[in-house]
Amino acid sequence: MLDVIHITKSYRSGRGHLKALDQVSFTAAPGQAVAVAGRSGSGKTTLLHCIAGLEVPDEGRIVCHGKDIFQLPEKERQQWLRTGVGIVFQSGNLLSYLTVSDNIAFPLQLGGWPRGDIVRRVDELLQRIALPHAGGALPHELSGGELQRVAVARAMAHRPRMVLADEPTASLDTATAAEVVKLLMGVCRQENTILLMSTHDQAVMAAADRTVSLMDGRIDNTPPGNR
Amino acid sequence: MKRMAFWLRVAVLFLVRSGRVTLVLALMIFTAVTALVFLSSLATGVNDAMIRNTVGLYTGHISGANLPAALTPETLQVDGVRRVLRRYPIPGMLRAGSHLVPVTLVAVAPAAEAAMTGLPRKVIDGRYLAPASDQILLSAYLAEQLGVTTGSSLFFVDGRTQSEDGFTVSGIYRTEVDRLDYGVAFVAERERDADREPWQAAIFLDAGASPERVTARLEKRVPGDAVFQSWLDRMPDLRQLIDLNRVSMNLVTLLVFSVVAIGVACAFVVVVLKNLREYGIMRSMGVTVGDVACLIGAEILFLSILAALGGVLAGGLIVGLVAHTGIDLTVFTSHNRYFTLSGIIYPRATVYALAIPPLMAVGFSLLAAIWPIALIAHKKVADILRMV
Ligand SMILES: Nc1ncnc2c1ncn2[C@@H]1O[C@H](COP(=O)(O)OP(=O)(O)OP(=O)(O)O)[C@@H](O)[C@H]1O
Ligand SMILES: [Mg+2]
Repeated sequence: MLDVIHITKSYRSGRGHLKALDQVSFTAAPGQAVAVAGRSGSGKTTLLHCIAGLEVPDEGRIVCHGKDIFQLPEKERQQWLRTGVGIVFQSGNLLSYLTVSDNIAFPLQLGGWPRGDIVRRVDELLQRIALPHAGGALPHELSGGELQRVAVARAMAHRPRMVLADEPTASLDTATAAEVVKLLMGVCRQENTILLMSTHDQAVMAAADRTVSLMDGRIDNTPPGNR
Repeated sequence: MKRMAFWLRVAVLFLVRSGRVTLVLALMIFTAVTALVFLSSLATGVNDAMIRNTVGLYTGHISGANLPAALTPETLQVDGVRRVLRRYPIPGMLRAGSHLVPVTLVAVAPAAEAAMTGLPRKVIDGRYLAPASDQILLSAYLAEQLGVTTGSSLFFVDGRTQSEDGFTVSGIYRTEVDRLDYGVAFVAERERDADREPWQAAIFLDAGASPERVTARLEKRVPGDAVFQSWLDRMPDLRQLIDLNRVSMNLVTLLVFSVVAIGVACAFVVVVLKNLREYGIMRSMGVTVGDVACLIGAEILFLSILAALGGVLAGGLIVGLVAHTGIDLTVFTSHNRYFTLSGIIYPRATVYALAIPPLMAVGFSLLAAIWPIALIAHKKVADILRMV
């Protein structure tokens, strides 16, 4: 279970004091796909960063499977990032000088998996993302859609408790986007992982089990038809 | 251990796959190390040449004085000694016509002197002494004072016995070294000289033998009034010059690598900034600042070790090539008393010259890692990830 409880985050910038998130609360269950929707600047990225533990909120708590992430000591929080979370960004996900296989294996290496298990898991994921022969390729040899599929595989590799995807399809065409979302949701459901996807894309929202809408940093409860 | 191996592998892959950046950085370190290995070897060569010139002209590495007639040159042949030349100093007066000049006449073995010392090559008129002859070799100054030239006859009055001996001038020399140009003249030794005492020794050492240690050995072997003095004690000025040469070489090395370190740091900062997003991604996967430091440190370490080894090899090779022919610096040395025989420098790569530049290169490069590491450590992961 993921509990997001009254998260508030403000930034001080050239524009003055800005509340990027204001008392945001919701829950998500394992195997569930939640779309985080909202206009540009509504706070989607900030929310995902807070949930991942990359950004510390001013108020509120994130509790995942009984762990209050911001109460964890620094060392355990790093450990949580290594084992509990998988992240997919809009683009530029992979380490350019590692092969596809090495990229997928990266979180497994960090987690200290045995060698044999790593090889098996990487093979399994390459099959799953339908790139069984791309293991030896370098990122610059792949297309945008293929890169996002590899990113999905890497985010899933270490069997995290939750996967956070920040506009994973924003730089893809409609058909490829649908394919990547299908893959992401499929793997998460199969491995019983919580999935949070921020998106502008109606199709993604429709595919998700649930949509959390953000509006200027607050949860927007207006029914979709009235927006 | 396994984790370490993982980061080392990532570092190697980074270097291999960022070929151009790696090459540029490696080239910088490589060139610096090559140049410094060569320069250090050249400095050693200059020092060698000064010692060779000063020692080889006449005195040998160690000079022995006050030696009793009973002592044979063979006795002085201790470990590290290549050859011992025996010389008999005889104080007295040279007389030619009405000219009378006080000198120390030195009876020498001409063949051995010609083989070991450079004085025969400093003859500017006539020739060096023939063995067991009645010839005398004069400095240009002495010849002028006596008003004689090559082929002239003159007399030597022994200061102790007042006996007179006739000689023919075989040749005239000039060395630019005061002790040889004024107050001494040379004759070939004869049978009757054998029981003269005290005699003097010019002791030449094997290459690489320590003058101090051999002197100590000689002092142990010959107790009594005998005095042994190595060139180090005899010529504190040369010793200082050599030390000065070494110190300035070390300073140059230090400066060059400070500059190289700044270059490496700048280049790596640029590389890190270019790949900043990748470091952000890594850190979002739970890679700690310590791990990143490990990674960048390993990258720089590998790069500098390889480049430095290459530099040592290239530098050593150049030294090896030039060591045979030597570099003729006579233009810069011809009026210098430390280069009386030859201004040709033979660079010599000592262990020191081969070890210090690469060690400094690696050490300074590691220092250069601090900046890019600090850069990543100071940036918030979330901020890095927001940059496109
Ligand atoms: N580091 C920061 N400093 C100041 N303001 C920031 C910072 N990061 C984000 N903001 C502001 O916080 C608000 C929310 O930003 P966020 O990136 O979360 O929006 P978003 O919903 O992800 O937008 P988009 O759809 O364009 O990605 C924005 O108004 C943004 O300008
Ligand atoms: Mg965003």
